[in-house]
Amino acid sequence: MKAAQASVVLFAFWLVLSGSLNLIDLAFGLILSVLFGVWAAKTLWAEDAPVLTARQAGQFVLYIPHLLKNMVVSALQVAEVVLDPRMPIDPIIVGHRTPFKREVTRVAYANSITLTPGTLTVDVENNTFYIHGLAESFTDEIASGELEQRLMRVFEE
Amino acid sequence: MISYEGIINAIVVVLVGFGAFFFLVGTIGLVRLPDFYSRTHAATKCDTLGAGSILLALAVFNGLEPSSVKMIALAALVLLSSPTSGHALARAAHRTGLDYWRLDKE
Repeated sequence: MKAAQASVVLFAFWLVLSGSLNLIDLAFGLILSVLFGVWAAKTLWAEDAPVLTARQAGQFVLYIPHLLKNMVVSALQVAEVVLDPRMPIDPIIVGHRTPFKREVTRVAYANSITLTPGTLTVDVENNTFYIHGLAESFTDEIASGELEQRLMRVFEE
Repeated sequence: MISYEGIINAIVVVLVGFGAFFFLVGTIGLVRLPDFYSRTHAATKCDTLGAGSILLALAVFNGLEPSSVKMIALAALVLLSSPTSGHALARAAHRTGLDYWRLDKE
């Protein structure tokens, strides 16, 4: 199952990169995708594979626009801070505990925090995330747990 | 008379301008911000958006072709790799005991 999912994703990626529908290209792509898919399932994903159910995949697609919006807001936020002559920052590092059970959720959470306005994941120890914020108001957003619940819905329900 | 090409070009110019602006801001941030961690903020957020929007502009300029999908795939790659590398840097700094800049320390 893991190998099949990996192979399908790899083959789709091959189609994009090769951009051709030649029989030979397709055959090569298929063979390579299956080989690498099996290898990935056996070694890279031996324990906790980042495989999503259909419903989770749907939730994930819905999450992407939210993430993109956050990215634009956070870049604008940095722009505002950087271009302000007084540079109004008061950095802080806070620890935040989360109830995640899967590795894929932690990865997504850490990356989402970094793309969220004014926050940056500095370290992860088990389920505690150390977050550097440009000001306390930004880390409060993380402490409210809204992002965490959103990712629980995407990956763990 | 506004042509189809004119509209495409206008979108491309806006997206490239947007991207260039964020690259500039990210670079200014890299110079102006006080310490390692806050500089990483500037580098990860602004460069992700800058690269993403310029790649999107290239895809729009290119039209509906397989290579446009490649550019979108590149944008997705930047979206994943930029926060990851930012985190790797920040983590290395944190683990070697680098303290962060505080307002009251000045």
